[in-house]
Amino acid sequence: MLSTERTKTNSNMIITISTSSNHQLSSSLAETIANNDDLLTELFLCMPIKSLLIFKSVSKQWLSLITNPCFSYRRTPIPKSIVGLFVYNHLRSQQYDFINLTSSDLSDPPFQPLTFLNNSILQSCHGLMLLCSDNYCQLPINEVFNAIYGVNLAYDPSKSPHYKVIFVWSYENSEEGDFLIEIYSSKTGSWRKSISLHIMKLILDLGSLYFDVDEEKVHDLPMSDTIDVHYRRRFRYFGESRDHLHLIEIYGPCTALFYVYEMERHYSRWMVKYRVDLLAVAVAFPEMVRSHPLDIRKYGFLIHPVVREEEDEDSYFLVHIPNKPMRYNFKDKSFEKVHEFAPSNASKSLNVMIRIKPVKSEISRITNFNILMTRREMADHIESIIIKVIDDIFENLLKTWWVTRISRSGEEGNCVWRTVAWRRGQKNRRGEQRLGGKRSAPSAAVNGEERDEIDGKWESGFVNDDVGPKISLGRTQSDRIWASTGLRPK
Amino acid sequence: MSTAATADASSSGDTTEGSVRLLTLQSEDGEVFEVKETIATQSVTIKGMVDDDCATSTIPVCNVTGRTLAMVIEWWNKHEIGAVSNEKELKEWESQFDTIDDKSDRDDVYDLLMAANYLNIPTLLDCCTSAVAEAIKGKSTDEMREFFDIKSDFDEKEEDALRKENQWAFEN
Repeated sequence: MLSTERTKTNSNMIITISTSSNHQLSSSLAETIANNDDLLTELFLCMPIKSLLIFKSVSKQWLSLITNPCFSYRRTPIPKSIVGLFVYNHLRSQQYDFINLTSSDLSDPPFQPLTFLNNSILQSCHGLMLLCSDNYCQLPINEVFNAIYGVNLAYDPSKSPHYKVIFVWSYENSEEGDFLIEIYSSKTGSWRKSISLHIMKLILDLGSLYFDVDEEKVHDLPMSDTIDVHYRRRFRYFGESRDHLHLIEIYGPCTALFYVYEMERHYSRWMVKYRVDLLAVAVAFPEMVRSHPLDIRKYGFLIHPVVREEEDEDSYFLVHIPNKPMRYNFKDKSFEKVHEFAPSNASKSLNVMIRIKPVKSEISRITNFNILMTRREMADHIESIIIKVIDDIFENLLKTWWVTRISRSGEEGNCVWRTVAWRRGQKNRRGEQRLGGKRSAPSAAVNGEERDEIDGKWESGFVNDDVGPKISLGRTQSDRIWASTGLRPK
Repeated sequence: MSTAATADASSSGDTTEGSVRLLTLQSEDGEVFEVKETIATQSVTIKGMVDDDCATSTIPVCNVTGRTLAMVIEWWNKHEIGAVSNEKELKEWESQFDTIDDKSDRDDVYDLLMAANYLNIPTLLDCCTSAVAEAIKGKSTDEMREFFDIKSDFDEKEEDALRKENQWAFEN
């Protein structure tokens, strides 16, 4: 608990003090303690977080001790196991529900649930959250961009209190496979260009690469032999747990059978770590089975983190089927429901009919649809909803699609809609293109995972398979249609 | 908390007791204690001195009063390996340090905390910090300032901003 360095200092002190017989004890012991940074730090380490937040305003000395990154790290070293998760509640706009994953009641999150106004969580890393806002954007985009491929946090409190944000994008009209990586550093508070690179199509389709944030270099990363080149890759999950990096991609016709890959040490390759079979889950919860006009069996689910436990047989992941996050154990294949999303209070909601005018005349058939809004949402000054407008899903198989963001402002009943659309069609196979006004990054397009909305008639996956890897979409019972794009470039 | 019993070793006049070496400690107010080296080296500071051969004559423990030093020695005796047969008994004995009921308790804990920090006795320091932490954890900013006799060096604006930033902690 106490460092040897301190021991040395104390032992020196004792010798020094023994020669000085006039040393006087402070009249107020309390004051002495309050002025002793070492002792105060020891005291603060025993404090609950709430007290620490209050004690920040005691004095500048206390504030500086409590906010010192070394103190934060000593108090909360990187936890080996996660205690809980914030999971997007698709039934309540902009709300994240907390799911306690420990058996104890010890975790007492200050925000339960967590509600962001016009913000969504893109990613989190050791307690930091990367948020995406509809209202402002600090991404380093000066040029007109073609597509955003990923925004990621890099943060390791055991190495440095500073974090970096890695941003991968491409210019408008750039060649397929051209990427630009920019890095934001919290140390300098600014963005800078790191590297630009060209990645061959073969690697994009079949291989993988990794970007070393310290070296700022891209390296090859062989895939496992188990990947089936005959099927399109369907990216599902990428994340770290207990110093293990995991990847989930789904190949093949049955989306309920797949592997969890683990990165080998020294980034040498992806290896199969677990084999997952969700068919039993689908039997127990048939709502995850999707019908498809071509009679292909599809399963609707999202994967939240892969969690490694101390004993490997306890490792699990959260598989999120409509309304119910389930804990699925890799070893014994058991599963249990860990949460159920509560729907919005129906009595408080009202229906608003929105007719969206085409952004461009080439959008031929636009469907009308209802959006369920709560009164609370209506009362919010600005409401923002991402809606996917689909031009006849079955006839056209989504050769063209739009993501439309609608902002509402002003008085109730006097909605001002701003439509920003990204179109994906034959002309531009690669990525999104802005059709709307001067807007910054599309919020939904930068997520590292496909954030399929799940509820009711959810159509995850097949559009993704047919048109390209970058799209997935969901359709909810309330006719809210959501979409997001995946991280990986085609 | 009970006041400390007279330290066992203080009555011994010899500098050695069998093969065990005795160390002489002198408190700030001149009280002299003779303590077995094996016990006193629970203090990392004293152990350092013993290792460096600096413990041959009387060791002045300048920041600690005789009363407190006696309590520290009692702590050492209880924590000597083999002194208490089971862990439970030790925890029960230690629990007297966990609660601060009145002012004299508080002063005792402060004294012990200072001594534990000064002599670098990790087990005692842990115990005292948790006791103090327990006593102050529910307190408000103003109560803390009074408790530790601290004057705020924030101006009103800064303090408001801090409170606003940590609103959640102040709410409940």
